[in-house]
Amino acid sequence: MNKEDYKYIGRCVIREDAADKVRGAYDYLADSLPQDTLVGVPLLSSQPNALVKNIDASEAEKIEGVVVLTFRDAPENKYNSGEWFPGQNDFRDESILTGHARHVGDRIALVLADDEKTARRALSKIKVEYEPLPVVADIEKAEEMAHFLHEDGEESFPGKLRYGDVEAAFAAAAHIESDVVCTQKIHHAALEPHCVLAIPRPEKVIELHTPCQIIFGVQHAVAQVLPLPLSKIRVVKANMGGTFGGKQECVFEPLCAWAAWKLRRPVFITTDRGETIAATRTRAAARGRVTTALDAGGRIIGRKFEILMDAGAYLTGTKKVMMVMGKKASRLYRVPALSYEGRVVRTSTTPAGACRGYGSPQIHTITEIHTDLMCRRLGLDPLRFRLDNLVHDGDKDLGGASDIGRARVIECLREGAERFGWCECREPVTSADGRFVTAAGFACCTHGNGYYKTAYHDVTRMSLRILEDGSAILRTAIHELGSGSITALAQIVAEVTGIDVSRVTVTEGDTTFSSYDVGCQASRVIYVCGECARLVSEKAVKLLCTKASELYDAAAELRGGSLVAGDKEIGLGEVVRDIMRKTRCSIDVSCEHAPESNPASFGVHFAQITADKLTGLVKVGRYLAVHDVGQSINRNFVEGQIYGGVQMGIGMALCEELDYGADGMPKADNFDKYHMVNAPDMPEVEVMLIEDEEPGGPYGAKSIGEICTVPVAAAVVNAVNRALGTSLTELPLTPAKIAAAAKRQ
Amino acid sequence: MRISLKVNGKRRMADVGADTRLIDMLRNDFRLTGVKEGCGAGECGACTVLLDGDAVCSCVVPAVQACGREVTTIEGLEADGELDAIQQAFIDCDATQCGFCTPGMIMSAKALLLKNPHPTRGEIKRAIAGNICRCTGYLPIVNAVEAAAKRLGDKE
Amino acid sequence: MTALERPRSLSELFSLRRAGVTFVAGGTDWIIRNRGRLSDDAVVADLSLIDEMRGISLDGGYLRIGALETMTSLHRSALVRKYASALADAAYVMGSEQIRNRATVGGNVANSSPAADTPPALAALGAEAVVASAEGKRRVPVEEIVGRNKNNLAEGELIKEFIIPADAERISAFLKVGSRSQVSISRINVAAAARPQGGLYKEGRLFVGTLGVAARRCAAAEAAMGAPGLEKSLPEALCALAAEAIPGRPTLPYKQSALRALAQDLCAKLAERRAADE
Repeated sequence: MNKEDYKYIGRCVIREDAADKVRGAYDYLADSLPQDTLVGVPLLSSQPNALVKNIDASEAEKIEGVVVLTFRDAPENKYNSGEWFPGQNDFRDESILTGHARHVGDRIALVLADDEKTARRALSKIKVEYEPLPVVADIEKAEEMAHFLHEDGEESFPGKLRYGDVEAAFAAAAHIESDVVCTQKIHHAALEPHCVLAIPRPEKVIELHTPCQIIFGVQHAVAQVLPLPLSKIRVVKANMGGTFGGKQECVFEPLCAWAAWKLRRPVFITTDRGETIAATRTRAAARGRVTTALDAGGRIIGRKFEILMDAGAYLTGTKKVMMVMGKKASRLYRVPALSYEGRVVRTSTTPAGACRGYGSPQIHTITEIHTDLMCRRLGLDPLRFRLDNLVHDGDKDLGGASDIGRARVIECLREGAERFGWCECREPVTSADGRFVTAAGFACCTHGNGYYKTAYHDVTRMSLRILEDGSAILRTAIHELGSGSITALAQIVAEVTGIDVSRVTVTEGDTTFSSYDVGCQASRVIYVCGECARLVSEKAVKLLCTKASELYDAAAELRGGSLVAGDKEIGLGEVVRDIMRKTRCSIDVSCEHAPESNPASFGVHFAQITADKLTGLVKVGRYLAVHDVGQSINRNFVEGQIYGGVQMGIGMALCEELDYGADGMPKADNFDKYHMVNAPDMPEVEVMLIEDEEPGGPYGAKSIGEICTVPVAAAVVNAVNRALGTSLTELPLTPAKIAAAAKRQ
Repeated sequence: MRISLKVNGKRRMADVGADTRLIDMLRNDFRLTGVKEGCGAGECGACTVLLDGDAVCSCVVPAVQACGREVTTIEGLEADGELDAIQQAFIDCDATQCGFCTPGMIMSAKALLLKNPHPTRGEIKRAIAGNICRCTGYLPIVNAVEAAAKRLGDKE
Repeated sequence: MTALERPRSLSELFSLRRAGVTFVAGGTDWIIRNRGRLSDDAVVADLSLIDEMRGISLDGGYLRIGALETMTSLHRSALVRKYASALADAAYVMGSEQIRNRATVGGNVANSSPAADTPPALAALGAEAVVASAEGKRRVPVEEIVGRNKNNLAEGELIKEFIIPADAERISAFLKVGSRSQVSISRINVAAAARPQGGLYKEGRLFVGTLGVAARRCAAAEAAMGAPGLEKSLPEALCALAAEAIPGRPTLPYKQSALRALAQDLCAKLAERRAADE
């Protein structure tokens, strides 16, 4: 089928919840709670590493209706909040409440009352006595100090990957270049703070409503603290005010479920911004040394990585992040021999966890800044170098993961460079007074499309029913995060069936009603879930046509939303009614899709910046994002993801950081100190999409939601380094760092 | 203290304490849950409402100071079931993703267009500089405000 | 239950004979600090109904600005833009639109955050605060009110208004460097007022903020403004002030670098305003 003939695919269909959102009628959890709900606010540690000697809640408990549950009341079993399926067996070091506070913001108790104001008033009256322990703030010292933080004896969590003959490659190299790049802890900054609702139901069921990313993961987490079978743990995806991975791990769900179960009342745990910053998750900070061996012709013959990552106070998902970074290293450039050694350590800071890109931003920031600096030192052209070394269409992944697929990264780079005018703007231009310098930079990246051929299983099941009036309902376990997944899937159903997209309902995850899906992660929603939506729609059409053929005694097919059987054209609704009444069969099919491919998505971003050498402020002037997306399902949604990803990446490059003092105390507890890019500082972003249809994806579509933020920081940092002639490698490049570096030059 | 004020065109009354915030009164007393709390410190703008036509962060306005004044929230923008031009433009320009910043963002835009019906892109960005969005990168939002201004301008 | 009073006049306010009354003006700082922390015997006085603390007017050669005037009202006021441009500048770049609509100039000065934007501007303009109490009124130069994160007012005193000499011959400007282009607390700021005379700036008053206290005078910079070669001498004077004010502070090198930028930008802005006046 010709792309121009698509009715919905690639078009700008209005998202189905937009009207409610602009009217303020889209309710998030906090907007609509059941009667009799107890509101809980967590009592968080004010100390970075301390034993809780005493909690005096006597004054708090005098307030009517107040209940205080402390770590002494709570189950002590350890779990790992980054797990999402039983048997994953990640290292368990976290409990729902703790008497050993391991970071400012660690959960010590839960204070509940009939409303938030009373709960917070009670919270303010609680006195906690701590016995401080040494602070483990320095990532370099974390291993030797590990025993001060955890009693489990684990000093670090190492992992490695290797293929090819790395020693030979380095022995034969014409050039060996090495850089160390450090990326920082980032706050997801979803506008909706963390919250969870748990309702104990009769029939011994616990029902959770949570803005989460993996309903079955929440179910698994709750099963670890309550004596209930999975089938009695109901998890319902609640409307989400943003997540970016911050709500992927089960931070408050187990605590909430346990409290509701114990108190036999609905419990709503709510946090304010300061609590969300301190007590949830962050992007994992990374310190990476990358060493590249080149032959005389500038081709990569080997690469080595040594990565140190900061998990924060608990391991959560950080070892997975660290390993996945290594897996990415063989999918952007052709690297014949690779050695990746990573270590994860724990520090007395807010735990890291899933964060948009899941290690991809970190590893690409490391490699792309290094590649630019290496090219500069060796006198190689950075564009030429990429063209010579980037992966090609059809390449295998020498690391053993799924084939790269229909790679268009070279096209992204070539066409992007031309559109951006790279040759004309690459050299720095200084203002007459010498104070301002303008230059450009770029960075390339790759990201995945699901879990096929990784350590984890990828499978999703959906069902589609076509109703008596020809409308349709797609029952899924997906999680709308705000990226438009619901509407995108509706577009796919509409394209296949011919049913008008406004008459297609797509449901979100509810463990009671949804079939299994591994969750909104690994950039799998369009490639895997979208493909499942397409397959189940085709299956429904097939069933409909088969039944209709029998009924009307003529070969039947669906055309333009109506059924054509012989010389008859019948409306879809009528067909369905006929089939149901006469054959006693409903048009309801289920389809399970376990993908057999996990191709790479690619992107190349170009940034032009102007740096003020005196104030250190950097203005991003022009920005071009080029993405190999296979096929956009909804053009607006793809662009929207890119704009948001660029905002996040510029923040990573220039201003965002969860910083701690040597005393383990966080320096920022709200947006006055944690600065993100606001509207005045957001550049206009031009988007170019290369849509060459990736096999295995619905209409050839592949991922954009995470990859769009992956190359941004490196593109901006590369631009700054080109402007100033510096080799800045510690993010963020704050005004102070830039002014100091400019002065040294 | 009992206060009386106009909320979305209607006369309302509430009992407020010394540290009751405008957002508390709007959400809890008047059930106007379209007013969102993102930071509680006047930094993210999610709680933006109009106070006598001026954009304010309701999380840092003492409720008592709204006494005798006029507050407009997102719920008050529609008239007779018809969306305000800004609301429609947000829909048309795909300016909402997760939607949490949307009510505050629209109210800031509303305050701007009430005072400056033909803003430049720079003036739009300044008007929403105190509204953080983590999803859209602001560009569709600026486009929407521009589109709304144009639509309203064409009507004149 | 905390008592909440809404006096309609200063005399009504001062008749609340209670110790420890806390004042609320715009509330943008007060709410964050006090919400959920008020004791049952605290008394909160909401100042917003006291009309004598409002208004911007020209009176007997002075510009009078009520303490309750907001940043928005200041930067929109033709009188402020004409006679106190530095103050209009400061108000224009303070916070966000939502904060500017609520933050009051009296609150900004009384909070005395070292990074506050209006104090250096007011000080450069030679502003005095009219401080009122049950005992009467007194006038205090603004730079004497701002202490280190707390004001120097006595218990029971509050700022009623500011009075600024309305000198049409004088030009002034305020500039800041934040961590981003808009909506940022100052990393460093500077305000200057002077009479332009033949390419130089005489009778200069120049104050720098963020260096431990909200408004620190720089006599060397004022001298530099009045003599040739100010492109070189002004930044040097400002950097020397910073070194003297916060020696050894890790932020010193950056503030000095940013001060060099502000010196350049200040010269440019004053030249622009001088030309506009001519």
